[in-house]
Amino acid sequence: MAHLVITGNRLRDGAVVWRGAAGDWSRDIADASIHATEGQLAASLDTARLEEASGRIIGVYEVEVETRDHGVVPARLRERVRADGPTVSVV
Amino acid sequence: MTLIDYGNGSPAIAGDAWTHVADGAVLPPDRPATISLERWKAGRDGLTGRNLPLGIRLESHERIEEILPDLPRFALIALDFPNLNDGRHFTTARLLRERYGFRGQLRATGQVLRDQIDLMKRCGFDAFELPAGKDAASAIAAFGEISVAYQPAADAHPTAAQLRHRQPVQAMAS
Amino acid sequence: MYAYDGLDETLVRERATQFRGQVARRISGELSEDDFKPLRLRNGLYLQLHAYMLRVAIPYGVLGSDQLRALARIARRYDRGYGHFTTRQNIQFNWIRLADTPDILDELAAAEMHAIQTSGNCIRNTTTDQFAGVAADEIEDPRPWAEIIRQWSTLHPEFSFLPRKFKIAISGSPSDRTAIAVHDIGLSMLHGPGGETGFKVWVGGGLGRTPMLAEALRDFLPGADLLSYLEAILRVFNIEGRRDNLYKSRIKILVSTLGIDRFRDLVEAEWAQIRDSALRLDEAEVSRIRARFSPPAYEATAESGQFAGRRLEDAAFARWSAANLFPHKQPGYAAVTVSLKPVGGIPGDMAADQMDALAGLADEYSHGEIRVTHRQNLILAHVRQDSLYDLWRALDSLGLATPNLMRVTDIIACPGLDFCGLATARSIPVAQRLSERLAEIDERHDLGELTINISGCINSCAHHHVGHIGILGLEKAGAESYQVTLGGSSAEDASLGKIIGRGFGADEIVTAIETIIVTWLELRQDGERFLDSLRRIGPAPFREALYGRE
Repeated sequence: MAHLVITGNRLRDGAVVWRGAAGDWSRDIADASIHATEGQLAASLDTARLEEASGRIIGVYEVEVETRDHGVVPARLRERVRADGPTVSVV
Repeated sequence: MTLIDYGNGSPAIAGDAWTHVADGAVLPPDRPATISLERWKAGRDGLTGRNLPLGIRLESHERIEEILPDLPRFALIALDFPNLNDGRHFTTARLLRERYGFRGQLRATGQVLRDQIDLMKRCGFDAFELPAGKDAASAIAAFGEISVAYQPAADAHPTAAQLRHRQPVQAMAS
Repeated sequence: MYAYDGLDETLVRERATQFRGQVARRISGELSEDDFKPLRLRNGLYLQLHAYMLRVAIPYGVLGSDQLRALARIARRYDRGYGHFTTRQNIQFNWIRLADTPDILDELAAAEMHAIQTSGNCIRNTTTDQFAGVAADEIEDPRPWAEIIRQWSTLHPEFSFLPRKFKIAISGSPSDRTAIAVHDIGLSMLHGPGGETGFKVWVGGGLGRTPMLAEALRDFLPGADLLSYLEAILRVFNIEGRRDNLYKSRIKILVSTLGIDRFRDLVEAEWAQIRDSALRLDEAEVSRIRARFSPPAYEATAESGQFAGRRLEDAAFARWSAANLFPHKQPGYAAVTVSLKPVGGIPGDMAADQMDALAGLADEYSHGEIRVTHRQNLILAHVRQDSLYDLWRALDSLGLATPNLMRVTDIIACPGLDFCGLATARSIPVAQRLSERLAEIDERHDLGELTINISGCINSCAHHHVGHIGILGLEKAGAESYQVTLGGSSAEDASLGKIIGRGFGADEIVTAIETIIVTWLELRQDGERFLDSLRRIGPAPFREALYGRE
């Protein structure tokens, strides 16, 4: 199985957050807990979805990542943009 | 389920005298009952002898135009909203009130959301079945959240244009 | 421009209060996200990749200078100091917190603005010609009619939960700058048999997954019947439109499925029932609204010799004048396009400081009024010719004087994958690199009118189907892939672009577009437009240049 992390957005401000090993939600993907087995992922997702139902986090889902020299990097561009911010500098 | 009655122009929680009878089930001998459009179409002859008020339920894809000649038989029409996105019965309600002259109770059923009630009211609904677990006080507070109407609809609310150009009442010249 | 009376103000304030309650119920957990989402969308609030995005309505693209200042204030206080103007004459803020939105709406309401129906399956902002009231060929100023439609469509009790979103455009001129052909309903003004003004009604245009040009529904509709006829169309759509498939729920699918004749029969039958209802427009109300759009107090100034002189002296000013001025029906005046497309910049973005400065320039030079165009630029509509030079210098110092209206660097682009939750590829970096590469070619060869539109997904917010060159960004095997269409137009000669061939990677697309333009330059006759050359010679030479003889 590919390595997976769990993500969502914070309800109050919409900020991208990643779920850590202690069930905390961090703005930094480096803090994300990496799941290597289906069982691990399913358990974490279940808990994360409960937190979603309680309303603090919205849109919980899993994201495939690769571990590179400088850290964890999502496989898809969309998730890299979410993790790192827009690829363009704004005015 | 909580019923909010707006029949006299101010919303209040009301007891429900009506029973929604499932297809195939027996109609209660002592209470007003609603039946589905399908059941009415299939067996109207067996239903005309009842002395109790009869109501009819329409799902969101069903059209009242199928049974226009029968409208006088019904004291209540219940229009179902399966979800927030299905707005067909807003049109059905206006047509019933404005075109077909239906004066019985027009009841919104299904996923009746607090935030749609003001619009439903303008389309002619005068009774609202709140889904289980929804706060009735909050729903009652939703009535009249928006006091300005830009469009004519099924209610008696004057439009903004009418208010702007309403002629002042003048004494008749003698 | 239109100013709210007490009723308009009350409605907008009550709606803001209602939304404050909805947000509070969401944050307290009383509303689930599933229940809240349609409510926030109906008020223009999306959850995007990094934050919430709030889309603020700019009805038919008209802004007062104080409204632009209010937008600048919101950009600074609640966002990151800028906003993004859209192809539907609205503005979007990209970095909004849910908890702040009620306060933002209150600030908007204080400036006679709102976010009502800027999203959701309801009637959206009615768009119109950015040169309304200015264009010499205008039959009638369409803005009063757009305001009438705005009021009628706002919180419409029957049409707030349509099968899908619904967009109306209205043009007062035979020259179509409103893209009528790609709207759910398009209205073009014309004179009726008795000389009275009314509308030709088009229906069923739209882009997205299934692009279609609108069909003529009615050749002449008297002005007084506008709302009853719109209501008849919307009623037919509300009942008959598909709700089982998101991609088949726009009115264009209904019109094409039924056929325009059958659709017309349904509309006309419904209209016959309601034509003589309270929907018939009262002349007193039409006059009241029309009076709000009476022309500003122009000064009797002759054509300015100074203007001609400055153009001779200053080549940069001459170039800007040639590109960004539009003739005004009032002698001695011009309408100025303020470009939000600096070469290498983000199309449609504007910093709060620029907004404030432009508001000042609008007060000084253009009767305090600013307009938003569907090309994501702004307009100062009433500038004296003898002020143009000073205005140009001021705009230039703000980075707002790129002389590129309708030219190859005036690129229309959606936010794309850098911001948008729906996008499949990035738009902005492609627009930036393209404008940098093409600016130089344009300078050397004077490419004339050539529009490029870049959408970051099939929803087509940047209207790529109607760009002379359209670019659609998709995700293919995990990478960005850009599909090119040629030959689109949203003007009165509306057409949909055709796909030229297989797509290009992110590192190939700029060169591919350059290849198309270089190929065209060799085939171009007598300074003709790219679109006209393409219509004359067809796509084959471009296909061959891009893909070889496959």
